[in-house]
Amino acid sequence: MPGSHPRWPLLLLLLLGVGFENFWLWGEDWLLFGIPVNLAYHVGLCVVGAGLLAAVVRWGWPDDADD
Amino acid sequence: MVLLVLSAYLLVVLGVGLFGHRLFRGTGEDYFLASRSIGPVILLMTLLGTNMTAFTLLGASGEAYRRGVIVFALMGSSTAIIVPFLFYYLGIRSWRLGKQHGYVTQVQLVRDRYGSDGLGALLFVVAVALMLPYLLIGVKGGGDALNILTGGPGVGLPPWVGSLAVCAVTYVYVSYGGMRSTAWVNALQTTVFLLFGLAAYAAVVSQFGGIGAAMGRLRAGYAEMASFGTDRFALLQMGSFLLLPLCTGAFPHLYSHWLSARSARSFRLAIVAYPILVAAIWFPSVTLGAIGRLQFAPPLDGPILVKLIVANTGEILAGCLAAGVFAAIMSSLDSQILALGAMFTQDIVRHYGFDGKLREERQVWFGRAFVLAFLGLAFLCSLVASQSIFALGTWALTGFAGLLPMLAATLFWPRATARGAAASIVTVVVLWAGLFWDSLSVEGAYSVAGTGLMPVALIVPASTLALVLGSLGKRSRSQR
Repeated sequence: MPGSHPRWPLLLLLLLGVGFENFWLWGEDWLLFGIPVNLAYHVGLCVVGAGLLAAVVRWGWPDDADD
Repeated sequence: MVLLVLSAYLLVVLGVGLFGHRLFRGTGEDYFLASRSIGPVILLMTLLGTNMTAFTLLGASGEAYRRGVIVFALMGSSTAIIVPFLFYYLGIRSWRLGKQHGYVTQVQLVRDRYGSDGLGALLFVVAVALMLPYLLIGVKGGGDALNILTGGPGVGLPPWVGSLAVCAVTYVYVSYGGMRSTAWVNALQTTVFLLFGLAAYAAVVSQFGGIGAAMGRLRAGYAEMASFGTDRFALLQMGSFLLLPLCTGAFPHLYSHWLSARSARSFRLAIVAYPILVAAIWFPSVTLGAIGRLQFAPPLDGPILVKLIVANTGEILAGCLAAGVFAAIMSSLDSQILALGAMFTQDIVRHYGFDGKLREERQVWFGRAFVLAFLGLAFLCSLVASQSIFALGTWALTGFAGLLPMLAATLFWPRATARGAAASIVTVVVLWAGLFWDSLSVEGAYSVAGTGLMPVALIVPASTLALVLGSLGKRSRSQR
């Protein structure tokens, strides 16, 4: 099997998966930045996800990916 | 005016698609994978465009009109989180193995990995069968959208006109230009529906006094639409929805796009930018659908997004929306039919005896003929299919998500065996058929016995278990 993907990005995926289930807010309807707090939370989750993926690409890139 | 804008757009799409043919090198690899030459920007746009369908614009806003902002989490942020990791793990490794061994389709990878012809044939049949309802969403969506945008039932153009236009335009540029045309047109179409989506959002929201004012009114009048809810249905649905985007990793058309990349590094931009762009597409769609409740009381007699735009803007923007909807539809349909052509050419025509007997260019013609027949079938089905076909599309995604454990194991788990892989696929087929049959008693239902738990939450663990149990006690081909 070629390619050597590190496993730590899976922990980030797990973290994002846990963050996705923001059950402590699900019953709330107040507004944050003009939009419902749950919607704002999930938009923020997408932005955080992009940041974590940038870290994966920077520090978790398989050495032999392009060989 | 709507037809004028739409016709102009379709001509531009055809022009870009046909231009791609000028660079055609006459080989199967060039036709199906653009000679593995696609760079980071086009790869990002084409991966995004392929994954965004008519459902993203019309279906999501309609669902948000009924259920509120929870739709963004269910379909938007779940996709934004899961899919880039699929690119990172499965995409990069698929690309590398594809380049090393000259693969064009998933079936070739699976046949080689397990040394089993029968397993390849089984995967071919299941993947093609799941593609039909998924493809049908686009064909039917094009007809329905054009009908509504030109006046609605009884007044506007009959749905078959839009369906035929979508099929014809897409078939012409895909069969003529292959992957290169598909990738270029996808980049154009993704840009179009991103820009038109944001323009529609700005125009409509300004009529409500801004997003803050609109959401304040929504919260005051329909508080349940501004929260996610705490009932058991919502809890189980949120808990299980994260598994549905796994289907992306098993789509044959996504696999083709991965293999078309110039290098593994071409994936980097797509991995990082994907979550932001998905949010940028789903946010306007969901918020417009939700605030549509302030202007239109149920029941609706057409897509909420179209009604909002026609009521709050002008005909030109409605025409642009039509172009955006067609862009979303065609940017998925083209990849799907190209992948089907690749599968038929590589996995049937070449594999079963014609390799070496026919020139590559002739082999490609078999793929074109198969796609024409398949599109014709989808068009005929669109004439008789009911609205519940959109629900059937979600079931198709469920089937593909169920295939993911087997495909991931093919790439990453040396102990996986042909017996385990076959057990996994058969489990998906049996469970899928059983749960789908069970759901027919409730129109449009997509939950196990109406609980909110999604069928994908049963099928993915079951197919994983079947893979592991089936692989136990026997040395795999790669171990030997």
